[in-house]
Amino acid sequence: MEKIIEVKALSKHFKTKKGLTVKAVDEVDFFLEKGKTLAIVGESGSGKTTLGKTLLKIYEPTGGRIYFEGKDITNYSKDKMKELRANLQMVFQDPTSSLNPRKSIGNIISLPLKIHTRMTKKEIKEKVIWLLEQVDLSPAFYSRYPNALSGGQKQRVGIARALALNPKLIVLDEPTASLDVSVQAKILTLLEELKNRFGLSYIYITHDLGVVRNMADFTLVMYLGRVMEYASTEELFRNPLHPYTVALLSSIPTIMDEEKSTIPYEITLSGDIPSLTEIPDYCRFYSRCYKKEKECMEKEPELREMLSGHWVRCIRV
Amino acid sequence: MDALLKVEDLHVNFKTPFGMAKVLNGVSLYIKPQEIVSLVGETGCGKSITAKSILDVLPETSIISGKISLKDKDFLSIGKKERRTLIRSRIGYIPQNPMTSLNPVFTIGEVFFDLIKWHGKEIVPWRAYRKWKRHIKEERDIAIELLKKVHLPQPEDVLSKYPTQLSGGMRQRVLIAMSMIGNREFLIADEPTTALDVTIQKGIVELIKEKVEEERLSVLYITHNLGVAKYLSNRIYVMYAGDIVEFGPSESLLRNPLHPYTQGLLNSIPKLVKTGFSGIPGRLPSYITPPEGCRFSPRCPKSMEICNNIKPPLKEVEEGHFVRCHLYGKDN
Amino acid sequence: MKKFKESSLYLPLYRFFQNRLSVVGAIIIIVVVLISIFAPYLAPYPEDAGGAIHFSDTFQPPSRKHLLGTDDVGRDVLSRILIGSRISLLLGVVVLTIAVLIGIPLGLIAGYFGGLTEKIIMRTTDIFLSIPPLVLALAVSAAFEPNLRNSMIAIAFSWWPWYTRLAYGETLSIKEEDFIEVAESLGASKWYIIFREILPNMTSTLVVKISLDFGYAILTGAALGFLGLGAQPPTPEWGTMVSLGREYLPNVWWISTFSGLAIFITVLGFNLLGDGLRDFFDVEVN
Repeated sequence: MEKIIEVKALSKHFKTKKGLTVKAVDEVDFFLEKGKTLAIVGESGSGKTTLGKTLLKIYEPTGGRIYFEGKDITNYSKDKMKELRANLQMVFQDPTSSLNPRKSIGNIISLPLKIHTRMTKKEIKEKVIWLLEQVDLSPAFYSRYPNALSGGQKQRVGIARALALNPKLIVLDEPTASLDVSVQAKILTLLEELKNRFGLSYIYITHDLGVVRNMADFTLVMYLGRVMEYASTEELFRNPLHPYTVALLSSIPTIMDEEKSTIPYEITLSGDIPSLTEIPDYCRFYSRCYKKEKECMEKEPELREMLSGHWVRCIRV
Repeated sequence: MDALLKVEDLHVNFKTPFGMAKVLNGVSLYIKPQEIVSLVGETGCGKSITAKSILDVLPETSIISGKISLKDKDFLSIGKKERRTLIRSRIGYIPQNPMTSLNPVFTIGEVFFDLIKWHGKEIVPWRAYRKWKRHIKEERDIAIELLKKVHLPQPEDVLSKYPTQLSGGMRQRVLIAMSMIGNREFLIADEPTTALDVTIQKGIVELIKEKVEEERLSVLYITHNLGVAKYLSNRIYVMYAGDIVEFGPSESLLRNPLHPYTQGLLNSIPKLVKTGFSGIPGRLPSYITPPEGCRFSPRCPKSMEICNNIKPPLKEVEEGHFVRCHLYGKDN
Repeated sequence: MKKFKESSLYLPLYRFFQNRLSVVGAIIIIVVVLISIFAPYLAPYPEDAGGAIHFSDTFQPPSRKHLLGTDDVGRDVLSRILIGSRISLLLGVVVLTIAVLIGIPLGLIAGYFGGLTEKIIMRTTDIFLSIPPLVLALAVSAAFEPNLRNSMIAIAFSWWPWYTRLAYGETLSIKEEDFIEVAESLGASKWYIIFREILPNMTSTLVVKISLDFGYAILTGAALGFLGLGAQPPTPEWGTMVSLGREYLPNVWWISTFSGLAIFITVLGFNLLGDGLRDFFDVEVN
């Protein structure tokens, strides 16, 4: 087993203008094997996007370490990161915002090639057209502009750009959140194909547990910047342990009767979500938890390995 | 049982610089008293246009024809002023985005009291705004009563807060409370949970279901989420490119989807069990030059010769379960 | 026609032409530009634009010989207005070129880099903005010799901060888009991001602003001329001509009226065109 990426106690804290600290990502540990997909799940504000951007060093981490293929890249300078960038790519959530409306699709996809390679103009054009084919877009898109494309097509362009430098790891930040399900299904199928074709590893950030079930090998459940539960996807869906994970599962409006078996019991969360600047020093899920006891208020629980490879941050399990 | 709301052969066209966009292509639907009906479809299929037609808030570039009636009173044949007052006093509306649907410069109370005071009346703008303290007790009591009904804790507090001080879920609850002013029997909810997290969505959907049962409401629930539709509604209408392609009781429709579009949609949804997903090839047709015959035919895997020429009629395949598709011909 | 409907220019042009006033504006500006190009051939007495003197023809009211009458030394007002259009347009071009070349890069840099750079640039801009443009221009003109060139420099100096502001604000919002983060993470240089990613996204706002400002710059130039601090007689500058004619009002009404009308129509034309361009670009963005 080869680890493509590993993070240890990775943190990203922001300072607000009022001088408060926002612990968007707080001491997160995980690793990912080569060729696998890790899903990071959570509600908005759980820090999943920040985690994705921090581990790619788009944001500078404020604590912890990042290892890429065994090398500690935490303190890599901008120049050194530039060399590594070819391996580490990202696909953004909003395909409209991630494509410059004033640049043609050809221009957009060729940017990484212009910066990172010494290819000639002709070679770049050939490669861009090849990339368009990889994401099932016709070469005619080369000279079009983003506003002439549908949401799904824009996201394909975003994927083609991420593929341009033959990366090893791609962070997918809710790549289908703004798309209709029929389009989403096609993008997800494409991502699976590309993963097999190019031997990619994915970190898939999403709030959709249905997508997680069908795409990911491992799943990390985050709540307010911390890992609540981490296990293989098979294991997590067979045996969800953290009350928050159960609540997430239970909130999915299911269609098939078979899906119901995944959900241990029906639960609707109530209670307020604490603000990121005022996270309690005991269990951060306490305010919304339906299994809470007095002892939960004593201190923040540790992330414990309850079963082999199945980690949970809850003392009630 | 008589229908509460009935839409018959609704056509809505829009004048655009590129020509006439023929969006709604003869939409018919009905909602019985105390029934939740979901209108399901993807972006651009015309489901919001249908809601806007009923609420009479279409833009001026639109041309509408057909029949929309509430308790046998045909909206489209009465005068504009009368129609608006009627619609506003009888039909409640829950908007899509709770973040932008409340004006941030007014407290919840200021908006709420005005809505109660002017319910069913023509609003006089320069008399509409009042400081909330000066309101008579009656309106305050009604507002608090309604906020209690949507399970907001400390309704007194909520009234004095500005929208930005409330979370998205709380704001949506406030909007649901507002939609129930004046004992309205009929609500239109336009994707009220799309902007919210799934955990919050669950609470809102359960609230709507509970209110329907308690207050004997009827709801037209517009959504793209078949799971929510299944949980919430008695019947589901599936819409594609301005046509109702299939409708029927939720259970029957989801257990046995008949239209190739409904089937494609169901197969596209990632589920909690590992099933994979297929997607639907192609994209929505242009409304300016829509396909002749069945509007889904260019994308349909089971398309036949006849599909390109003749719009299929509605066919009842199971009890109350209708489909508009040539695959289910007269002989079956 | 069918093919044109599919082109990306169709919708913007449609919106532009839907507003009759923008078409009027566009026609005015086209006519003014054509006049300025062909002025020497259009003007019935081109030599009157300079210092020609015809004492026999002073203060002639509008007639067939002099359509807009003559001035105090017998020069044909129509000829002077036609040729004067060159001066107004030149002033607009020079002023806005300088303002854009100084203002836009400063705004881009302030907005993109932030920190101390931003503070220095924006506070300097604020200082310039706190002085009314006409006063600043007056000071510059007064300090140096009042002539056309100095008045253009003076106006340009009071004008660039508006473009810094504009570019700064636009940069702040464009900077938040994901494509900037993409370019940064790929290691694109700062200048590439500023000039190739951010700048093209503000061109539409910029064009609208320039079009609206063109009119105001001409107006300011005319005001300086009127106050005697801009172009000097016998230069056929419109503001100077209004000022000159003012002495002989109300009996000799045609000098001030017609040169004033020339200013009015041109400024109006640029304003209407600017509004039309706004419609034009609005569509492109949506």
